[in-house]
Amino acid sequence: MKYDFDLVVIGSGAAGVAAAKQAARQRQKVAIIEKARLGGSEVQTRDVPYAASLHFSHLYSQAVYGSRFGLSSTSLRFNYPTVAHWRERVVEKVSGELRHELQTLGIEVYRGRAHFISQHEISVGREGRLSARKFLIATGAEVHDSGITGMENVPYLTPNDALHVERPPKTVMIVGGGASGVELAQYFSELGSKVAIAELSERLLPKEDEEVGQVVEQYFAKRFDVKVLTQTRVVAIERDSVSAKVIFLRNGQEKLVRVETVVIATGSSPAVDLGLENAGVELKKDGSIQVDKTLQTTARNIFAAGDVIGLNESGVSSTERAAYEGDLAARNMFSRSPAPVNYGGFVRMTNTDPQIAVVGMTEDDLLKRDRKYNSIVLPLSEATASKTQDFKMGFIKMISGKDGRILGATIMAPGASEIIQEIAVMVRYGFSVAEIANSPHVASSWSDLVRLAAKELL
Amino acid sequence: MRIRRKAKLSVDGKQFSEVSLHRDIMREGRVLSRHTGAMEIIADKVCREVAKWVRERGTVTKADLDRVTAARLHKYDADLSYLYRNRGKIL
Repeated sequence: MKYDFDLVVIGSGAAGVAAAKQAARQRQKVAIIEKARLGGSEVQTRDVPYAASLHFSHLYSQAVYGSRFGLSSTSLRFNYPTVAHWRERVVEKVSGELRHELQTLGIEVYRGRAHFISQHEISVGREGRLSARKFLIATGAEVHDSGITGMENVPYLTPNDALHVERPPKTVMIVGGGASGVELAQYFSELGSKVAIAELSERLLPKEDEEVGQVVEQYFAKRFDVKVLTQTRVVAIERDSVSAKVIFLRNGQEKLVRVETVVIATGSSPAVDLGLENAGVELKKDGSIQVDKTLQTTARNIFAAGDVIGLNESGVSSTERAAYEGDLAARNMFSRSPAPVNYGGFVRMTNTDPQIAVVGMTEDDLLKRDRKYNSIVLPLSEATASKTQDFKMGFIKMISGKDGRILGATIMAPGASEIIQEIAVMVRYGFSVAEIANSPHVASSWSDLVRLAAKELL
Repeated sequence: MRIRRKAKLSVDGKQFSEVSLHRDIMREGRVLSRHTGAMEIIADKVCREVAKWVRERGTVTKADLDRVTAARLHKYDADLSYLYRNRGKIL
């Protein structure tokens, strides 16, 4: 049977683009369907704009606190429209480069919402229909309904649009203490807002080990005007002519706070409203697409990658994981011997300042699995860099198995995203603690903490 | 490549009708002896939501329409949603 394309990719985020490029290099005829702007959430609403905005806010905050080094910052100001304009330019640049790359590879891009009519055919918005031999679903995740009463009547922000405010709000309530909520809390606070952050669990960043939430809370209390409300359930939001009223339950009492802006950062759910039932694609109980180890769905010609398949064994939702899965899915769908996924070494990031990077298993994971392990937590002050840069708020936690192999690590330090890469490689390829401890590291760098922690674990 | 086969807003080849959907929902509401006034409000809201959903997609199947209608009804009346989803099957 003749099809319009060999592969149609639904979604132009990291997973979709990686798959399209891989298939195009294999000389397959490829199309991408995108309902919004090219690049998906990574380019348009999350990774790129967040990296640009947080870079600015952290820079500004460090300058404000630079007086102890002799920096005079009494007249330091910023112009928010200029910041926003710069961020948009960065997004446009990345998006433009992506468009050019897809054109060069001969990948066609269609604008519209895809909907499966059958296993080999989709409708594309109001345009018409396309057929393909294979499909890759890479639609990511979208903000889900948090169930807070009154949300449908009150304007609120989400992590996808919180950066697009005209100016930093005077007061803001962030609902949700996960990575996005914590990043936004620090961002707004660095720009002068009074921030409250409400989290249902007993600590911020509940997916990480206990120490992370504790240190973040201490840091917020010491350095920023952020009020942390853990074990708090936000039950309703109302709006009057002046401000938003957020009603929450804490310690069995109902309380109310008035803020200018509310940000709902309670998480997202897979975007699966694609008529998957018409194509025979089944979902898991959590609403994500069910795939096997080769990323094939329950329909033989349809694969899925990225946030739409949920966290799986990786426990990580990241651009790198999505790109890896997209690339692997495209290889597998045209291969006689498809390869299984390998999630070893993927890093979970929180882009606060200092950054928080987690790789491999956490202590909570190991306790749940009843596995024996050794662990060490070293404060940042153990590193020479802590003295030269006068920064102590953070730590490194390293976990090894009884056989001496590195199982995981958590780093809260400046440049944690760079430092953790070494450990990510160790985790992926099963290196031992002794191998790190005996490797030379630059003595005045933050990465020397890795060697020091490994030595303690020996 | 231009998409050659243009499709009108359709459900399994037939034009989507908000009026028919409204009538179907009202009928299921009568089965459950719901008050007419309340049913009108629910049917209006659900039809608007479903029409918006269909408008975003050029072509959908009847099964899609039933699924989405039942999901939207669930917000307002879980029993009605169940009945709608299983109409023709419940005697």
